[in-house]
Amino acid sequence: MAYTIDIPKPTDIIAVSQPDLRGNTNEVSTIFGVDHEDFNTVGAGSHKKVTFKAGNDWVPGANNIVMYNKLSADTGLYELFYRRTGEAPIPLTETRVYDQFTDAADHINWFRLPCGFLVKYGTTTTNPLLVTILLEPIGLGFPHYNQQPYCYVSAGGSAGVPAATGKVQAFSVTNLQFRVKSDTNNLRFTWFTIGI
Amino acid sequence: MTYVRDEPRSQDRLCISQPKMRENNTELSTVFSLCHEGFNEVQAGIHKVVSLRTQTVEPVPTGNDIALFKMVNDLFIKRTGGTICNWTKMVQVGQWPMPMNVGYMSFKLPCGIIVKMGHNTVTAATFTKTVDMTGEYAFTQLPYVFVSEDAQDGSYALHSIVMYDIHQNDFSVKTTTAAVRFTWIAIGI
Repeated sequence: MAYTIDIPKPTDIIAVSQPDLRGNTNEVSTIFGVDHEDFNTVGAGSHKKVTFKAGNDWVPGANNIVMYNKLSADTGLYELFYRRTGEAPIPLTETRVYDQFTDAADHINWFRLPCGFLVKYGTTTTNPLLVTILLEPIGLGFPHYNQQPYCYVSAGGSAGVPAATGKVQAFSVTNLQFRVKSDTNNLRFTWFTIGI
Repeated sequence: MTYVRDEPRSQDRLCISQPKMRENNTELSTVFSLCHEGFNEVQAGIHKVVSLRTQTVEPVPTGNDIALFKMVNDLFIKRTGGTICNWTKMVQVGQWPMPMNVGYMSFKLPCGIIVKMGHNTVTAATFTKTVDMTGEYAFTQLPYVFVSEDAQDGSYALHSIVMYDIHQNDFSVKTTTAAVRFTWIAIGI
């Protein structure tokens, strides 16, 4: 079934227009009922759901906010974005979890908050006592901090009972990396950064 | 007023169909304008609001579609293939304000990341504390945990505070002395 625009035509007799009019009547009801409570039902006009079709960027009109679904360059997946007038799109559902926490290797993951904040988090060890953590490792797709993020570090790992003497301190934080100093060698620690 | 499908009928005269067609036009305009700017309005067709009615069955998006919907009292995002995320529910395991060593808060972000947070005190005898994170939402992988000493009532002292023995539903913390308070946050999926 299709929706026919521009009918009835002025030259049509009603017998000619009738199938198109009837088709339109039914098509309106069918299409509207995909995402909305249909005509003649409780809550008619409210949404049952909102289905976001994969597409491209949308530009909102004045003072509007648009939400849409498009392919993310950072995750390689289709993600929800929203966008204010005159501003860049903000990803709503982006995350990359490369690895769960382990003591066996260094890891870095990231996600976005709905407000647009970018959070990166991971783990590594203080070996040597002074280490540098790259916030955009080569070979992995990582979104970029445009400003220096806030950085938090916390000592400890998943295995064994530590001596509880480990101290860690973050310093020299930039939008691309930060450094960590410790009083204990081979001390695992977790970290996260938050910023824009 | 109702919307009548299959109108106009082939055997109807226009004088018969006209009231039904008119009623359909009016009903279409009324129902459509509940959530959208109505016909002939400025920016007709865009949403004024997205009013989501409670669903009892999850929708099934296809292709690369993403569905937004409401079940019970929360908003969900679902991708093709079944990944579903409740991103408006705040879980309170225990009481609030949170008493020491009892429960935690947790929530999910729209991206599906789970965040849990709480505060505890190491026990006097062992200078350690195992934090129980059992409950909603459950991590399916080892989370990343962060701890920070949390002095009370203006008193403070500097201690080492190190976590260890991290599992999906618990982790432990060791310090160099007793009665050290700490706040924690766990992030994962």
